[in-house]
Amino acid sequence: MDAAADAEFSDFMHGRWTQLVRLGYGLTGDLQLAEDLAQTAFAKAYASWGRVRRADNPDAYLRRIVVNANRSRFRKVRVGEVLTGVVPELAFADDEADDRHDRDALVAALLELPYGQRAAVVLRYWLDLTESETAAVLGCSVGNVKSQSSRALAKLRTNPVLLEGGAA
Amino acid sequence: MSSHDERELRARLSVLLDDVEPSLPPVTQVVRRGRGIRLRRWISLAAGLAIIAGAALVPGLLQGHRVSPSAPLHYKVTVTALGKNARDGVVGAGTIDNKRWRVVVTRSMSGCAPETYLLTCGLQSESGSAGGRRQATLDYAFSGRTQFELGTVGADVTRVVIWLSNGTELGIRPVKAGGQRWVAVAAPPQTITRAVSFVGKSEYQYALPYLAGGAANFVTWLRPGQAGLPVANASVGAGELNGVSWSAAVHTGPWGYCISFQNSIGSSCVAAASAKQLLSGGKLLSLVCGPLYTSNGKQTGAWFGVKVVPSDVKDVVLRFADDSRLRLATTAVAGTRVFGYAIPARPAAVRTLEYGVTGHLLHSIAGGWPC
Repeated sequence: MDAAADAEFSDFMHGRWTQLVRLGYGLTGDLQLAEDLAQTAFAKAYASWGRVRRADNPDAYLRRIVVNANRSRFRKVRVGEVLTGVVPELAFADDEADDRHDRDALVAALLELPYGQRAAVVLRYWLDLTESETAAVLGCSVGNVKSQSSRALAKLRTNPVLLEGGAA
Repeated sequence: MSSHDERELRARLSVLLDDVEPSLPPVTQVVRRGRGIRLRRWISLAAGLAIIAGAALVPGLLQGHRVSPSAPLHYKVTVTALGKNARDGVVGAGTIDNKRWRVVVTRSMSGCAPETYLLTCGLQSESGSAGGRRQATLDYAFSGRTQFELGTVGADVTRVVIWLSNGTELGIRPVKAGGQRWVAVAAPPQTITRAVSFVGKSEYQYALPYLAGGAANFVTWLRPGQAGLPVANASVGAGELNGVSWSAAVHTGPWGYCISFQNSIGSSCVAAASAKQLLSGGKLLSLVCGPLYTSNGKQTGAWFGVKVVPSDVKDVVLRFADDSRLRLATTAVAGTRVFGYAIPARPAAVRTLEYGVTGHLLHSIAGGWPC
């Protein structure tokens, strides 16, 4: 790529980096891993920059890479590691401790969901994607998104920590 | 769960994720990785080219049912009849060794995302429009274990038949989605040998693939009985610039013109059934052009390309802005002459002089460089 295209890519990446890392965090509960996933997505976008820059919706392309890259990671680590979905408890004081507790509870609840359900929740309820947009990112049917979301919400509904006392 | 609960979940996710503050975007690191990915793609393409080069040594091997050395010997592929209109965007389905494969098109994404047995593509992405009422296109995607072919066909095309190396004929009826008529198939790597499109019950066009890293790349469609370009492989240039060695080769055949090169990005194929067709658009046609990279993916600031000229041009001389000159010898390939080049970005090349066999000036063309 020439310097102008590199500069264009740099602008593209600056504009989307934070959101993509946050998506990765929603899927993994781990900031470092989320940054790795985002890096992978942007590196692939750079490798196909000519096509990505002309695409109607490059964000969907990036999100799909992040979701799939994390799914592959899940498959790879399943044998070697046990993903407990439990966030280690840390000692904090006062309000900070409450906030931390709320966040940890939500991360733990998300990590307890099967991966498809977790991805559906983050894409539908944090990124506010439509069911068909979510289906495209997950590579499944709209019906599958509906059932995954519904099961995920039912499971989260049973978590007393999550839905007590309204939004944090 | 009520809509109140959904709102609450949205709010909690917002608090959780909007608070995440990542480090600064590592643009340089990402660009380096991106170049590495492109380089690896090139390497896998080069492997495909090596297979082509080997096959070309045996006359006639590239015609009809060609079995490449790495193609699996035993496999079974089927396609499922889907009806005229796509359901849930599914435009292709079937089995490979009893495992189900699917090809899905969607408005909600761009580009294509191949997985082992699933290919999802944006409606406007790879294949684009088939153009005329009788035209067909097929683009490939490769997941490592499966190659997919996805394309669109014009309104008059009734079916497309894909031939496999074990003699299987897969008949595919177009499926409508997003205002286009799609055809799709999946098969093990290096097993697709031929595609034929039908208008009514008659064969209208056929295409023989160029093997690109295990996947069949259908570039040029030919009418029945039309032979296309002869199979030829030629080195069309090599050298060193800014400490980087480069070389370029052209591979012609029924698939068209395909170019492989070292120390630049990607690869390129150009559709052409004949040399005349290729050159009809201009005297000095660029087949491929891009920045020259080092072997570890760093940009050198120089440019690299391959151009084709009519068969009466023997030498091409580039004149630069500082009045220096570079002479490039052309190589005869399938009724044309082709040359590769690597040139610095500065000083700019401002004029091209084309010389014939006897050394006389044929054409003087302004600009057009580095591409």
